[in-house]
Amino acid sequence: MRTLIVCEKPDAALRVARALDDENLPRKLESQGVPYFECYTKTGPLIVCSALGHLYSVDSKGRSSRSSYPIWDYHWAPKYLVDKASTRLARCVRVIGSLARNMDRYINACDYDIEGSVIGHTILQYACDGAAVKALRMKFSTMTERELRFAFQKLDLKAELPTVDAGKCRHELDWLYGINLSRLLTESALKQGRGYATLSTGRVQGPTLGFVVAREEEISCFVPVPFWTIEARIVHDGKTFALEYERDKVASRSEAQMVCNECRDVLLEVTGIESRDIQQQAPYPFDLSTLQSASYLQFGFSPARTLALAERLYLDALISYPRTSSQKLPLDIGYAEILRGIGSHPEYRSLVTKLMTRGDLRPNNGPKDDPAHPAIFPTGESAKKPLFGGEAKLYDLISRRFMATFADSSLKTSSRIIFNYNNYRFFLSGSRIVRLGWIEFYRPYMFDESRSLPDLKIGDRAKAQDVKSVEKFTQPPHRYNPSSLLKKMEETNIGTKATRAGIIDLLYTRGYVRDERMKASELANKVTGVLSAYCPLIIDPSFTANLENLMQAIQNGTSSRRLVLVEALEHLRSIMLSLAENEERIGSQLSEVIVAQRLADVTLDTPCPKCGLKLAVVRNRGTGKRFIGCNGKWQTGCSFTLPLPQFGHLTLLSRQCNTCGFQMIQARSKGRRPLVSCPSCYVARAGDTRSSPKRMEAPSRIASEAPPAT
Amino acid sequence: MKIVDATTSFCGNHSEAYRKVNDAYSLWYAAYGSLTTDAFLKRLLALPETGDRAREMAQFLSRNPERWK
Repeated sequence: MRTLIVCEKPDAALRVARALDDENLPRKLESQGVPYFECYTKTGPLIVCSALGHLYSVDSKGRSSRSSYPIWDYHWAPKYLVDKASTRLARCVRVIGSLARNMDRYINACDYDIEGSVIGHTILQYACDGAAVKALRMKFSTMTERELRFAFQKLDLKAELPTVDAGKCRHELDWLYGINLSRLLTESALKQGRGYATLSTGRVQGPTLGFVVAREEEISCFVPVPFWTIEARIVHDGKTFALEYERDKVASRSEAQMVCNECRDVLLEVTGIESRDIQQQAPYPFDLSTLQSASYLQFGFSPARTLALAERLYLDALISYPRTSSQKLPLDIGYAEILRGIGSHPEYRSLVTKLMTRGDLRPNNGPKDDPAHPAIFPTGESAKKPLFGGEAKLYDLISRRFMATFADSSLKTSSRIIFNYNNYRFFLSGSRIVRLGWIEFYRPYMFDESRSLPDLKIGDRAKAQDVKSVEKFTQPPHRYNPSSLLKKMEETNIGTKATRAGIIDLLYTRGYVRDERMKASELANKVTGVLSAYCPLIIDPSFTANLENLMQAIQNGTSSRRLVLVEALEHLRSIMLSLAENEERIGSQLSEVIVAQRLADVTLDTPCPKCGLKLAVVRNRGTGKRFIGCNGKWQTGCSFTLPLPQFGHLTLLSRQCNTCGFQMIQARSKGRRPLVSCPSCYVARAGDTRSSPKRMEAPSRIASEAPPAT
Repeated sequence: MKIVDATTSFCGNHSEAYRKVNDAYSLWYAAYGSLTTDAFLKRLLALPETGDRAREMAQFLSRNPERWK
């Protein structure tokens, strides 16, 4: 019996082939440059091939120009025909199609989630002559040989149509909403004849941007209100201790002054000592969003980067499938065996020994569950090659969290000494860790700071020193960062664990937000303003959440793809009508901001150090190279220039260089970490290292050819 | 500089800023015991925590004190 196994990625195909081959030595073959594997088992030969993610995507039926809308007719088409950047997928589709001929059995071995099911289903359906209906499903959560072999023996015969339908429905809705609304916004602005800018929105992007813009509005209208804090200290046995006044904030200046006047240099009497034990349970195992939050907090990795790193660790069989919502570790993953595997690393050995000697291994499972996959856990397998950088950091975080979740709760004693003078109360707080518990296992990622208290008892007295009131002001709310925005999306149930990080990245790409602390641009304010004025539904999170629930209902089998599509299209039709009626007004509002934003995007906040006029990013007409030039070139003859990186998307950041105060820049290239630098310091450093005066003059020679900066 | 007609009503966004500034004044007044609107607006303009739109409103009100209701 000849069997074709379809995997999602080439690395996954190699792992599956190696695991299923009787001798762990599959034959690597190649057709049209596309690799696939041939393995031999007792049940017959297996051909393991791989996709490169989605090979099919939604596209409009028939030919339509990029500017036409609305579009209601669509079909699933090979991605290489839809996206010019995906032409290499054509060979992949052809090879899988030819391999599928004369096969007796088909197996979908893509990642076991909605996306994986859709990838496998569309390939088997469209490239393999409708083989999807008779295909079997291989279900696994880790890429370890043991689990892959087990999954192959226990192939699922039930067709996973509800899951596939839910996944396809999501793709179709996202495409219909995205293409129609984005084209309408882009075209309405373009018709004003003031230049082109890609504007986009969608059923998830709209509300997500709405959160950022609403927060920006809050900050913009924020009015600080004064309050006072009372500071005091005591000295005991030569050590100084800071006291807290009984109220965190005093609302009036006169009251704060009265407290200071009455308590200055008085003897405070200890009237009470309070102590209580605080027990902190071990942390829950990681699901994807808590992993992304922890990774952002500890290492500053964006959610998208964390997901990419976790995917790599999963493909190397080092961790389980990361796209999970579960915070539960089932017994059948084999806790002891995994711990023994982790214990082979010298840095974890002593910690693992401590856990293993306890005997009873029980994780502190969290409330969230995912029927498809358990929480994220290390497989215990050793890395074939040493891990570096982000991968090493993330693996350490996951491994320590896994160990910590089996550990005892930690116990901390929190104490407070209460001082009194004429009904004014001051507190001195301290804490001491009694039992480290899980903190010992999770230590680099958990602070266990203890604060000791002076040896005082009730009736003792201490002199209050430096009693003063400090005027402070209430602070505006924090801007979102990628991690907190992701959390907000999850709370409001918009997007999926697989798509949220990508949506956040898209907000940056479109120029809607900038900086780590996500600051909404004028364009974002305008787009959201237009949408909230003419079709508030599209930025209403509850509308998107309702669609998510409907798609969940398809997966549960309580609704159908057809019903959900009909309902969602009714909404879209009314949204489009409302926008189309006001197209000209929308266009004129958007085009105004586009022009202003285009100018703002290339104009620096830092003025020219030579003439004080504005600096801007300009391009040399001859060479096409970009650099910073002075707007005063044609007015005052100022020839000030600074070099810029020539690759990647350039963004002017709103923060200044700590050394010289010049505005920082960021260059983002696909697949690389963003390069953040100060152009002024770069020149200064280059000046230190380069001895040739000719090379130093190079920027100003380019500048002399530069067009006037506008 | 954009010339604003001081007699027109505010747009939605600036109405919100006006409401916030107005509400804050009573809190500031209670906090300091006594405070003129002029001193309040000057201090508001000097604080880095003040939002951009609230700052615009404070600037506008200091130029057009008759708009205080």
